[in-house]
Amino acid sequence: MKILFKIAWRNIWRNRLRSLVVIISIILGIWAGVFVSAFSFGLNDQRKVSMIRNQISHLQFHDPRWEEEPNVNYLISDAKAVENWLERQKPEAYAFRLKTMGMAATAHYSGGVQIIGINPEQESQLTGLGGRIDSGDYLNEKGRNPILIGEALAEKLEVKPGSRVILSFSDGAQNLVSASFKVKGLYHDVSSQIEKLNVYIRAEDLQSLLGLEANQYHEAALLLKDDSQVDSELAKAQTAFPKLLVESWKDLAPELAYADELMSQMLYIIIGIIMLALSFGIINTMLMAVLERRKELGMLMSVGMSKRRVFAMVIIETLLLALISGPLGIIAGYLSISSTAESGLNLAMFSDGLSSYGIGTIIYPSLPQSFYFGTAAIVFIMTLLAAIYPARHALKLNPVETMRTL
Amino acid sequence: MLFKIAWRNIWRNKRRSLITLASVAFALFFAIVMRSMQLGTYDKAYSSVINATTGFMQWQAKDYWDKQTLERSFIPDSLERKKMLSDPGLKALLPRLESFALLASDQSETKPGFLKGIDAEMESQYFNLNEKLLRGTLPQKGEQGVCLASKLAESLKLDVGDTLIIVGQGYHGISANGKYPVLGVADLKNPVANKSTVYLDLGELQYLTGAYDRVSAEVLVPKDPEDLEALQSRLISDIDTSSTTLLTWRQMLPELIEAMEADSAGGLAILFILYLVIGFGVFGTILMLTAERKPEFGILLSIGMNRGRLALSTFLETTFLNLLGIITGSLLALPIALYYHYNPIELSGDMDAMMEDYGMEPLLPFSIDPDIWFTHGGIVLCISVLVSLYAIVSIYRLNPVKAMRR
Repeated sequence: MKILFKIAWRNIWRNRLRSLVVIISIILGIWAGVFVSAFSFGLNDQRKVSMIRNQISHLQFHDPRWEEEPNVNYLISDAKAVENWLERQKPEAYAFRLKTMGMAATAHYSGGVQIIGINPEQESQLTGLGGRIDSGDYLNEKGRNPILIGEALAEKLEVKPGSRVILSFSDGAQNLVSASFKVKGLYHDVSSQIEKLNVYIRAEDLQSLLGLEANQYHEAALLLKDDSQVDSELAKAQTAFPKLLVESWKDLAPELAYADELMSQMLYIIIGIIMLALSFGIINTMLMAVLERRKELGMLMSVGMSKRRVFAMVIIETLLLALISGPLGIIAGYLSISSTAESGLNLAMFSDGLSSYGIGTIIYPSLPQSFYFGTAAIVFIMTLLAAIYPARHALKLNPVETMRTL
Repeated sequence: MLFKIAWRNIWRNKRRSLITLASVAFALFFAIVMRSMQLGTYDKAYSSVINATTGFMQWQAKDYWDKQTLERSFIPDSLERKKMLSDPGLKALLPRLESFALLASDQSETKPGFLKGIDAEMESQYFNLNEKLLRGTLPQKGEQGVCLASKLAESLKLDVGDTLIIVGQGYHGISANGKYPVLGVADLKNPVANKSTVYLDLGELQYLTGAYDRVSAEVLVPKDPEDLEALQSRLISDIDTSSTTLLTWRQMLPELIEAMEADSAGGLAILFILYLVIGFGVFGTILMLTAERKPEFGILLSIGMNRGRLALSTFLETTFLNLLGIITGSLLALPIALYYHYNPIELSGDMDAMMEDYGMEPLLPFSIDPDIWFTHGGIVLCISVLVSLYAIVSIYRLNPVKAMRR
């Protein structure tokens, strides 16, 4: 066996240029494939993380009827018990909210908004809203009816901190309520849609306008310390509160969860297609290598080398090509990913399009470790498959015929 | 003669030629199918948005698009209207008035929505609005009543015969409240529009909002949607550009275009890798081909064949081979693109939700724009010509005596 490896190794370097072309093409193909995969993975992951961190959190609690139709009267029953339970889970953060649809108007503009009543401290810990204030201040206890609005909406309403905005919405008894709010600050979000849609006011202000009592909420959101706890915590919450609808981010944003799932398949499809394209080159090279060595192979067979060993020799030679180039391609991919993972790649040219999808302009390529092994496995298997045709061809050689012209 | 030699040379090593041909065909097949799907999807997204929202071009007050409010509506000058309509490239001008309002019914709470005042007859003629009706009718000229988008009707729990309550702000801040019978429900084929649109007769909305004679925009219906920029530059001289302007959908929807371009760039990156890999494969073949024919080239040169003719025949050989691959790949991709062009892939479940998240209908029609075939066929041909240069260079450098020594 050892001698077979040696022969195969030497054979590769008999036609150096040809072997190098195959090796370089595999290195480049895999390198580029891995990097493109890391780029798409990073993009998708960033979108997911920013949605979870800024918007939906890991788990949300609602009245079961809320899912079908958000209604002011569908409140979380016994919010106090939920709060105690959340506290016991020792989460990263949690928050209670009120939500209703309404209209925001100034003399210049009026538009539909989602009015969110928050407890400023809690909300800031959960979604980092307090850290995303660009001008003005975050909500606090001071002042009457303060409001935070997104920058994109502020531009339309033509307001700045200190200006007034009229909010109109219907209360629990379906009466139309209008109230004047003073803009406390402007927040930004990676998603321009969110900036245009969400306005934040204090929970107690919204509670009194809606005719609700303190400690009545529509929604509780929980952010865990560790992503992997989501499913187990979901099950625990569901047993603890059978009367509430508890959902994880996967239920709340199925398109995110699906994109996540689709992504890992996509990555392997990309690598698979590249390997398929590469295998044409591998087959061709190895077939030529076998054909030009007809006499030599015939000689080996007639001096007693078994067909199995001839077959193995060609297979080994093919695999060696992949064993040289595959790891180099993967390492090159890994190095280029880790060198760009810190600083990210700036895609300012697509910024508006990306922000309408909720993605920032700087993409940080990243790739789960399992993917490197997956890639290595695909390379190995596809090369093995590509080796079969030339190796079979070597088997079919008739020793006498091949040597006739000698 | 040269053609004949080139053609015969291809078939001297049948297996290698077929594998090379297959690799080129595979790359092109994959490229065309992928681009056909991508570009078809973008076309669909564009036409869906154009149809449901902006139309191809609009005549608006100068500052309207930045902030779409009634305050920035305008009274179209009838003389300018006439001048524009006399242009043979313009089929019609459709006046539209848009305003934001809160919508309510006695069945549910208030929802924000967009009121669109239209000329139902013309919208049906040019945008097939009547064909989108699921039930009932559109509000005709002078008729009091509304047509609701299907998702909005669902969430308001309204149907034909029920009453819609509109609470909004009219021109110069007057209150615009009204009660209208629901005349029809329409599926607008665009997820965003479907959740928010209320159609009224133009005159009725002008009356409701106190914006007499005013419109938000006049939608231009061009004869040839491909040639918008030329039409725009002709018509701009007909209007008073100090207060109004003409905008094409590309100018109105840069975010959509950027988002599609970002997606497209991802696809092109994968194709780039594929072409790189296939290019190396073809290079490998040419490398082998020139190496094994060195003695033959040497003989041909020494018996007096002109280097140029020899190079040309080798160049023709490789180009023929690649052309065959290109033709095969193009032809294989054709039936698939045609089939899915006429029977678009319908997405379901989570994939459906993901497309809606992007504001698109869950349909993937393929494009059969011949440009795709020419562009990618052309790219592959260029690559093949480029790598064929190796053969030409090596023929020019060949030393006949050395070459024949083997």
